[in-house]
Amino acid sequence: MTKFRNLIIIFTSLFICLGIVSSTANALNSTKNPKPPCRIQIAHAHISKSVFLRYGVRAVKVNASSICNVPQSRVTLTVEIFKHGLFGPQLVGRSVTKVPGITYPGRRVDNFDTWRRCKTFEETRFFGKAFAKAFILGKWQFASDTYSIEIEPLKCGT
Amino acid sequence: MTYEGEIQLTPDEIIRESKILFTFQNLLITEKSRYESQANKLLEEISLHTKTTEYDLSYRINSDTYECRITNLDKSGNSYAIEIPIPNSQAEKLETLVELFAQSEAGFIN
Repeated sequence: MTKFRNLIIIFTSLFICLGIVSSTANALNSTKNPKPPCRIQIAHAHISKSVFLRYGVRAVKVNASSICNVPQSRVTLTVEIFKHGLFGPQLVGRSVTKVPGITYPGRRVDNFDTWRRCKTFEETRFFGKAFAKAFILGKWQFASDTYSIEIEPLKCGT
Repeated sequence: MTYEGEIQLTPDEIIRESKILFTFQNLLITEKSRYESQANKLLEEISLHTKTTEYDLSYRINSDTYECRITNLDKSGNSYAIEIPIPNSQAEKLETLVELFAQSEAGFIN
């Protein structure tokens, strides 16, 4: 009977300890990495192969999307393309997509319309930057600048 | 913040992307003279307004960029803006404006 009682005490203590550890870990996670309501995804600068193969048109492109887990309205997603020049990064082009009305949670807002024509085959290093703003819970919220990872230079002089 | 991810265009979006770039290329050729006269007008007057069947196009010259604001005539549809840096030479300025006119009239994927 005593052995049985001891066993119950050990198990109870173990569950309490696990509970504390788990809730502490959750608390730490939520304070260290509070999940942002919105996130931006940006792809690397590329030359659209399908367009080039089909029509012979060459353009450098950066695609980006924004997604929120809360309702938002008047979403604006801006995408910029930069190239590395002699004096640092140079803007190549910027485009903004404005979505009117309400965008529901989980619905993606895309900006797939940021591109510049390649005039030459000069090797150039490009990267993209995206940022967004939206009206969420009664105030303007801004999603910080998100940069694409740079890959190999593209044969695209703008 | 860097967030790199695969963004896959749907087959429909890929087709629209192709059409837009193809239209852009064609407009550069077929509408060249109209665009050149628009470019000269814009350089003179700093702002210019045109219209397509779907959009109101409002061009203006900023301190370092040429800008086009594209307002959807359908109030529930997306609107857009395109900005291109102003180049140095006069010939390049004209060429860049022609490109901006064609790009803004070629259409949009989303």
